[in-house]
Amino acid sequence: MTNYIWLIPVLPLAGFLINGLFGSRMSNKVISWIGNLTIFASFVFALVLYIHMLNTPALSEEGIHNILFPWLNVGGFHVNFAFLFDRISGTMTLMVAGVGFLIHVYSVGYMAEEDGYFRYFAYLNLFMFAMLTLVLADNLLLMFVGWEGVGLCSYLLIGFYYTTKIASDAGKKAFLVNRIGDFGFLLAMFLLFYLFGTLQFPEMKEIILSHHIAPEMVTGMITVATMLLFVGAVGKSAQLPLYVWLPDAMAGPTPVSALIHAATMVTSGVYMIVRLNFLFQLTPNTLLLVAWVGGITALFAATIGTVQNDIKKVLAYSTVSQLGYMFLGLGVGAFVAGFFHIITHAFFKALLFLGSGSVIHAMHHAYHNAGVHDKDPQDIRNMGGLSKFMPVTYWTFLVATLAIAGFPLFSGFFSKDEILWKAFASGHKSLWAIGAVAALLTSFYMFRLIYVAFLGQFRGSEKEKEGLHESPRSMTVPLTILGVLAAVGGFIGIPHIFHMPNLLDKTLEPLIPAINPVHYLHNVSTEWTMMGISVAIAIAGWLIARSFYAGASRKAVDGLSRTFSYVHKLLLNKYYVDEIYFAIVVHPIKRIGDFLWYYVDVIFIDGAVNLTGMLATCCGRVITLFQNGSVKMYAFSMLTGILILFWIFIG
Amino acid sequence: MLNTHLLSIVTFLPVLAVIVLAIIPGRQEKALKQFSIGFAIIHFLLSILLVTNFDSSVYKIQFEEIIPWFSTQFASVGYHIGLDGINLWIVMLTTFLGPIIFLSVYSSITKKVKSFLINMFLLEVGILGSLVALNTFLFYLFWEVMLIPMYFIIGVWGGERRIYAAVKFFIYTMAGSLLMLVAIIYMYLQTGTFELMDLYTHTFSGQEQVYLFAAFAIAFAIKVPIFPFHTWLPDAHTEAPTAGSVILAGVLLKLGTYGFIRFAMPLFPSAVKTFAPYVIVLGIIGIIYGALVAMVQKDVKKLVAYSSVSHLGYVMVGLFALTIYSVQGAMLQMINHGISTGALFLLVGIVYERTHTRLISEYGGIAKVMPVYAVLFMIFTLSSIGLPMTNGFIGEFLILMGTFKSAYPYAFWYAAFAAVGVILGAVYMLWMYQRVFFNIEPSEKNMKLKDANLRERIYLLPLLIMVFWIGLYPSFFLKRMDKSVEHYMKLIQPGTQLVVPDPTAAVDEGVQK
Amino acid sequence: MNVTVNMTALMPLIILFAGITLTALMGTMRPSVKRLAGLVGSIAVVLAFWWLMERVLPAIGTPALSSQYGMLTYSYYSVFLSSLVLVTAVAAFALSEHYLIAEDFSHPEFYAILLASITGMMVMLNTSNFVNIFIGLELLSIPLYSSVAYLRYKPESVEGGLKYFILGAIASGFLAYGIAMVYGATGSLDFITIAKAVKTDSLFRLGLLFVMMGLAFKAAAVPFHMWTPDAYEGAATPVTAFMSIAPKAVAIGVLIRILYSVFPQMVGYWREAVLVLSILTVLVGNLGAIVQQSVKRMLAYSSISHAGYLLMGIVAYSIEGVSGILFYLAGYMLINTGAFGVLSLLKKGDIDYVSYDDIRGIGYRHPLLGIFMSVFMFSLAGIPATVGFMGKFYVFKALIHANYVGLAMVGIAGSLISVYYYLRVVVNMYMKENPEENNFDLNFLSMTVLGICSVLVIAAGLFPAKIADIANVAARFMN
Repeated sequence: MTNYIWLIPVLPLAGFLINGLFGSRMSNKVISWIGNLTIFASFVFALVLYIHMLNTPALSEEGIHNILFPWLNVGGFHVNFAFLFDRISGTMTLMVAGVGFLIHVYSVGYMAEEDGYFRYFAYLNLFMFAMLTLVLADNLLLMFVGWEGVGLCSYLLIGFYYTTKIASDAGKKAFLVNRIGDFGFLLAMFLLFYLFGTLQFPEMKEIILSHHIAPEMVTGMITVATMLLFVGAVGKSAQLPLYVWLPDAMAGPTPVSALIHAATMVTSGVYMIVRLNFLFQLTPNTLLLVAWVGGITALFAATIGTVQNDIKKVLAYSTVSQLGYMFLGLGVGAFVAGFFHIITHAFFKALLFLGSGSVIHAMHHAYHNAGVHDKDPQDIRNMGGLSKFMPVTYWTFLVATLAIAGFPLFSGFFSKDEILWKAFASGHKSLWAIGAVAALLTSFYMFRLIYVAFLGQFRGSEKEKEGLHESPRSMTVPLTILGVLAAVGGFIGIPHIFHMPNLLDKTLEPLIPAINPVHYLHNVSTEWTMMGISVAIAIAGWLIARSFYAGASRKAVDGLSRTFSYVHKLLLNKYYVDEIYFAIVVHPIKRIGDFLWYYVDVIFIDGAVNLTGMLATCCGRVITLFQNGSVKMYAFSMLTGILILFWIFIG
Repeated sequence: MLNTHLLSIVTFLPVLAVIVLAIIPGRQEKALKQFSIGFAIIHFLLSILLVTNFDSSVYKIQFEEIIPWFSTQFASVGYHIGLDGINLWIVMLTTFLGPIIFLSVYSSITKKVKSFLINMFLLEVGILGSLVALNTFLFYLFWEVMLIPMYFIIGVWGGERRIYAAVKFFIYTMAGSLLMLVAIIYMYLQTGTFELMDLYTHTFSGQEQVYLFAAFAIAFAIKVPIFPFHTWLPDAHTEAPTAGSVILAGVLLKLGTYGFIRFAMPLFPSAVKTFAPYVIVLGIIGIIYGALVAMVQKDVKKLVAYSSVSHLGYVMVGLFALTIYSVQGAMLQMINHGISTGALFLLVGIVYERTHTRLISEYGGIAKVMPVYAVLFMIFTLSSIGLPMTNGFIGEFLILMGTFKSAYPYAFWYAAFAAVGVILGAVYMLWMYQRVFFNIEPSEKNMKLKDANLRERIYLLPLLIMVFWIGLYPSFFLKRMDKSVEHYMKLIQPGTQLVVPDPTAAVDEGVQK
Repeated sequence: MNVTVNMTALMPLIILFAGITLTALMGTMRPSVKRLAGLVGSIAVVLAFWWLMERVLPAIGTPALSSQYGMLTYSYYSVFLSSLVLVTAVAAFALSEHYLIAEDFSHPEFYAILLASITGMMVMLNTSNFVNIFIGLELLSIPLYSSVAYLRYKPESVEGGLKYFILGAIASGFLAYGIAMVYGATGSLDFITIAKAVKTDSLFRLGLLFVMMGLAFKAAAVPFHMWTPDAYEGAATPVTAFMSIAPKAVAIGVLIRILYSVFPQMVGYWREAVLVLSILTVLVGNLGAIVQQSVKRMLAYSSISHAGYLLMGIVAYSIEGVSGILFYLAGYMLINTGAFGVLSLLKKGDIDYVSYDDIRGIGYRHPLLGIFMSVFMFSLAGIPATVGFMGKFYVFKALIHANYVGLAMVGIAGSLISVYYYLRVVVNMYMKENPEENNFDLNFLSMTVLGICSVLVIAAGLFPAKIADIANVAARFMN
């Protein structure tokens, strides 16, 4: 069994191949069965493996190593196609395959009426293949395969509605911005190979543990390498300054946003750092950078999230913000906490997106029934009072909101609180403050969504109202399951002060040892106080949102946005970051391309080439000028010749 | 018995095709084309013997054949051909592309079919000959002869500005190779031999090496082409018929890089060390410049042509980084480029046949009407931008990693700047892909486009397989280069290893800069 | 003084003279006999050639076969060049046959004139005495002037002939003057005696200067080349073919002979002079050819440039250089016969279709002709696998060997320029469409000649050893 780890990623690949090659000739039903079963099989297999691993002492520390075949073998460079199923990757696999499966199921209903159904499921399976490869890879190069692979699938899925420019632009943007990050990843690989002579995680770890690496390298080169890796993470996990692709990525189908742009792919940057914790722990400078980038991103994205009107945009900025939290956690040395937040976030954010998908689905139907074409089904200002029409969606959405806002005992509470506490405890008070403010904003914008979209009165016409209804079972069942997970998922990582077993800590401890431990403040009463503050913040966010948006108080919002109109406008336009990037990066590059092509290539180089030819022709013309048919001229030419010879012989 | 003459047979077999084609009357276009396809397949199958009988455990030349060719008082020349890990795969690429090209010709060439096919086979002889020649004189002969059929292919069956392009191609290339001729003669006068293996053992003085290397390098640089000798390429590619572009991109350009690795570099190792930083910088300029210029092209074929400048920049960087990784990567990348760019040209040809335009702005949204075509195009696009699991990634990765590991003072920056091409490559390719296939509902005119037909799928399939074969299991290919490249590395650094500076210092310095 | 007359040595001239007489007499006979003039002329040339090979060649030992005190001297070197002349002559006769019939101006005198010129060449080549050099030159030139002007109803023919004549007369005058000066300086006209004189005074130098000039004129070296385009264009195309090869071979051959074996002590002077002339010739020839609109005129300039490459070979001043030149000449004979031969076929009545526009699409209407012409053009351009490449290869190799790398580079630059205009012919033949569908009458005889030429061009390009060996022997035994 342990030799078949490769089945976990390869099963979805098989699904992709079948659906991709023959899907156009198969019925939707067959397609969805193939798509879902392969993922489900992967999940079950992973679960069995996971239990087997934990129960087998020989495997539980090192994990299961499965070498398929040698991939690259040049000089002293060996890389295998090999998978490593250990506590970190196993946990992640379970999450990815599990959430992935739920979203697959959800998609069956959501995408039922779309063209290119087979294409969608093929892409989705391909994504699962890439993501699982990323997670299970035992070396950086194979991880990079998955790393770029998920980027590709993200590109394909964002651009699913390819005949619209917005979607294809967004897909391209996602790919390109990710490539900038991958550029860092690539350089990091070169540097690490240079340092370690290998890219395999176990071997690298071995070298570090056995102190085969000189201390001065640790400060210099490994810092550079980890920073470059972090550049990769910044691209993939949508952190400042490369986060710009993620909000645009919402142009893809909503389940895609849930799976790729919330639960799995975007967390792979975080995962990578957790996976390489033995490297990052050596480099406090990098960690500091990670923490600050994460913290600032968390706050930055949260501010934008407060004013967006597109339901998916709000969630997108929220994702960016939550990813910032994860990095904040990693940066202060709380690797397990960061990893914990990946998992809880996967539950509640996937749920939020699926819920929003359900809403959009309903709104779309409503407009379709009413024959309205010019209204945006994603704009929350067109919604209102939806809780009456779609109770399952509402309740699950609410659970997820409570989780993300950090209401006690919901999953998000534990993970977020742990991050904030570790930030505070590690002495980074300012980082804690940033995180706390961001938490307040998070709570605010999430409840804003609840109030504006689900509560109050529906703000559309009666005819539209008639079309509103709850989504089909294939969509609500995953919602419910995720709802349960979002509610109770946090209990796998209960803080120690509750004196209950922290499963996650226990599981991951052997693999995330404190090589260079951060000296945390150990003060139980402070921890309780901080937890209290977290709760207070969450409730404060809710109350503020309620005061602005509940009931008839919409006017207050307008007033508020009028008073702070400049701030509002700035936030609504996302700080004009896209415009700035266009002006200082995109536009100049195109101009340079034009310049190089026209002036350097056509005018200068080709000009020089053609000039040489023209010069020859001109000389030819001058020469034939003397060839004018006059014998006198000819004789004169001979005379010149004689003079030349004369000069040589006599002169 | 077969082994002793196999290489000669493979090299000259197309001559037989030429003779048969000459006999078949020109009106029987179908027969001519079918014969060519069949013949090319047989040719390829025969050449597979070269791989199966190849001994990858030694570096020595295999399938070697030496016979005196002509000998006079003032020059004696031998017919000496052979195969080792350095030229094996390029030879295979040539024979592999043969059937594909002839299949594509089936619909794309409608006038003067017979002459076209004859030229194509002659071109193949020229290419194979210059790839297997181990005698400088013989090499030069094939090298130049190859120009003529290519010249006709561009000039007769090309696009609007075909004559300009053909003449430019010819004269540009000729300019370089005449310098090489002088160098070849000079070397002969110094050593009394044209035999490459004997020349390897001769050490030219430092000054001689500089001049001789320069002469060879210019000839090859034009062929590659290295910036700024590249301006013939976009014209030639754009004007050539599809089959011409495929063979031009697929194999002909590789002869430049092959020339470096077989002739210019091992013959003049000390000059290589002098010039290497400059060549690497030119290579990097090529990578970035090619990409930026490709980005703004309005003509899709020109875009692919400029992408070649960029891709071959990688190969040059890899070759001159002088590490085993980068050299192997460069050699693999030569094959990769032949496959990916060859396929892209074929794909562009397919849509050109249907629309008679190559302007990107004339397309848009055609993924809807040509889904299979779009998928194929996507895969080769990804291969071209070096997505992992495709062939392009392996080559680029090894090149960049080797460059990074090279002993030059600025190795970090060389690798970093070259790697910028990874980003830019994605920029222009995806942008082009978007504008051709996505963005809008296809226009009325494009609505009627037919998807790739069976024949087109058949000839793209082998290329597709190669993309993933090399991407997933490159060892098959690398293994057969291993020993030769190892030996090559010794040739190029006789006796002295490059001084490896303190790695920390190199990077720290790089980082500070 | 006992004058010995060696009949073996004299016989070729006698045969040729008989040919002249016969063909001239045939002019007075019935038309059916007249038509045989070309055949008779050819037989005379072939007989002379046969005699050279079968009788003269075995008689040559390390000392040359000499008669009448060196007035007639056959060496391997001179026989090689004589053979080139004779072979060219046969080819030219074969090409003329139908050309003149198409012109409707076929007279036996045409062959008589050319035979006279050939006789002059034989005299000039196979001698080691300045008197015969001069006599030979005049015998060569005067019939050639008239053969250029042979198509007397065509103004350009007459004009070309006249120009050639006037300028040629000046050149002959200089040559005679130079010979006189050399005689004045050394008291002898015999090569061996002069060589032994070891003089470098200014009279002697001036003598050499004028001799060189006279020969340079015949070889069409710049700046004594001005007559070439006009004369070549005006002459009947087969005559042009003949003119572009034979007199050039003779002039270059005699020049080498004189410079190497008569004035070796002056090498410092003449090497520089030839160097300057060769550079000028290569550049002017090639650059001038670019801008021509007529293929015939382009080939005229091209032949100037080839004279330049040959002169470059002289600069090398080595056996290797001479053998390179001889090889070059042999190859050049094949190519140029072929190239002009193709042009001579592009004819309807008395109109020649020799401009670039006229040859558009020829490659498709006359595939064989197109292939032949392409072979010749690529060969002239020096593409490998043709004899043109091997010729250049040998010459440049000799130059580099003699440390004239710079000069070789000039030659290379020249051939690079030449690629452009030679390709232009191919471009027009294959890559352009002609609105007028010109079809030409291709006669079997001419096509056979062209076929042989093009096969030999490639064969000798791939397997040059035979010719190169012969050229090598010829170069070694000049005296």
